[in-house]
Amino acid sequence: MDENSIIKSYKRVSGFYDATFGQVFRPGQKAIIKKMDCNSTDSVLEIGIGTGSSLQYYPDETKVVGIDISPDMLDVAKKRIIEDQAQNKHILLMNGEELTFADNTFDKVVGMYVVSVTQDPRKLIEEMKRVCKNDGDIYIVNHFSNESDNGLVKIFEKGLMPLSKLLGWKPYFPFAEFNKYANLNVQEMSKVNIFDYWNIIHATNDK
Amino acid sequence: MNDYLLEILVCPKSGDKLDYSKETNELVCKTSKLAYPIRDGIPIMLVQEARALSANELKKK
Repeated sequence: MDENSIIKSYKRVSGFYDATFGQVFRPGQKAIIKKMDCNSTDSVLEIGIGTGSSLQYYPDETKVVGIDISPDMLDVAKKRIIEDQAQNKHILLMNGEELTFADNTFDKVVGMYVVSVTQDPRKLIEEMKRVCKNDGDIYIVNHFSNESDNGLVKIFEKGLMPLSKLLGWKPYFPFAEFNKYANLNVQEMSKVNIFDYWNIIHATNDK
Repeated sequence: MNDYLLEILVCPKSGDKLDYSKETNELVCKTSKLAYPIRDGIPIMLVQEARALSANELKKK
């Protein structure tokens, strides 16, 4: 899906996203932010911030910069930040494949359900590494296809097909292929959500 | 405009630091001669959405 199609898709769903699809992603957001174990001095970049539903899970003092390519999703996030008076949470409209931050800016960089949506995952991961400090942490939550997936996962995946189409996910996205170019120094890989559908990856940024 | 964001942001075209223009509520890059809008408090960091600075504006800077 190209950038314009992604923007259009998310324009259609932004109004009811949190009450519907958002529920599918919530446990993954919560789990990965718990793993990130942020403290008050950490600076975090979240790619694919969407409606900002994950922001509530970070400590108030942690500086979090969230980016997204969909202005309609960010409008919802903006309202949320104002309502929550979240002074350390910031949002920007930006393309994850062309991050407009200096090198080595963030302690932790997280991609939430974006690596299989973005047009060029290789560019995205290169940018994530560039803006993350050396020895900083990179986190990814995504579904990676797996030949050994059990029957329930496959049924769940089929059930999610209309959603996948609407949100522009690539139907087949195995981790081994992704990591051939991503070259992540993976510290931990775990699963979360119903049927263990989503993968959570923690890697260190070795430059 | 938040100080922390100004500190970490760079121009998507030149990679240089940006200045905040209170007058126009934009993020300005002198090198690429572009101004990035801030809509409803959200900076729009895309080259295709940026405005080219006029000769007059460049003189002022």
